Amino acid sequence: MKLTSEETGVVPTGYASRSPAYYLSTMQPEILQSLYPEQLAEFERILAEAIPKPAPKLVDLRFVIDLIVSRFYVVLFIGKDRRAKQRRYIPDRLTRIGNAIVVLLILLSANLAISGFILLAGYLLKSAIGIDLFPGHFPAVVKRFFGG
Amino acid sequence: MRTPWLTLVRLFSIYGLAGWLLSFYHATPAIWLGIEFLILYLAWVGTGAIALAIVGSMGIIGAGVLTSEVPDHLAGVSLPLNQAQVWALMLILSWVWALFVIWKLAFAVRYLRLMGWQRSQVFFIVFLIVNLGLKLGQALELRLL
Repeated sequence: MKLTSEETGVVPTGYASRSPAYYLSTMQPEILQSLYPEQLAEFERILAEAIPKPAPKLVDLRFVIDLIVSRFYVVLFIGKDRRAKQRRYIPDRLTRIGNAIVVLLILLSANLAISGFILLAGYLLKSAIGIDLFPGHFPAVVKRFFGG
Repeated sequence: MRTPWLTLVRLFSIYGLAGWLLSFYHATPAIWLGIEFLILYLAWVGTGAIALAIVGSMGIIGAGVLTSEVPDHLAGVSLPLNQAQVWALMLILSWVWALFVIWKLAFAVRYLRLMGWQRSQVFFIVFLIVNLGLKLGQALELRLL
């Protein structure tokens, strides 16, 4: 039987903020009580070492894009890289090509959307401030260009 | 205080103003159609539709930049701004309003589902309420009521 959070006094929190005490509280109570203080301290030390300590992130953006037929999650982290060793993820050739195509498409779409946003916002702000780069009203210039 | 009915009344009012704005700008049938697609998408999906709906709103405001003239309704109003500034400020405000209505609709859908309403029930009711709001706003701007 496992102890509940009320019995242990340890409130289960998000995965990233779980402490060694939280993991120990999920042990079978008989086993937990049978441990010597030195053993318990050693378990706590190992758990503290094993619990991941993610680097603080400057940007932590997560959102879902639901295309009705399928749902995708998008995660963007920006932070200092503290990794000393190379990543051990070595995908096969086909996966690498597939990944490259998808990444290219996503980056192009994001680039297009962000560029469109910046251009549109920049143009409207410029006009709102009263800076006039071209003679005439822009929609009229566009209509004239297309022979309207 | 938040209740499902109050949420729907708020949606109705918010989209009423959106309908008024669209009519004020003489939105083309293509823009109305684009907005209907966005509403259908948001009403069915909820918060997962926000990212693409924001891109959609950018397209609608972009179409507004290319097609809209300075509204004639402001001809008699004296403002310390030239016509182009008024035009740009109104489009910026409309864009902010578009983002706000997208946000409100997506979170209203999520809230109603959390209240135990069925997905299809939320979809039909929200779609109906939002369209009633849009039509009422349009009718008020055109002085049909």
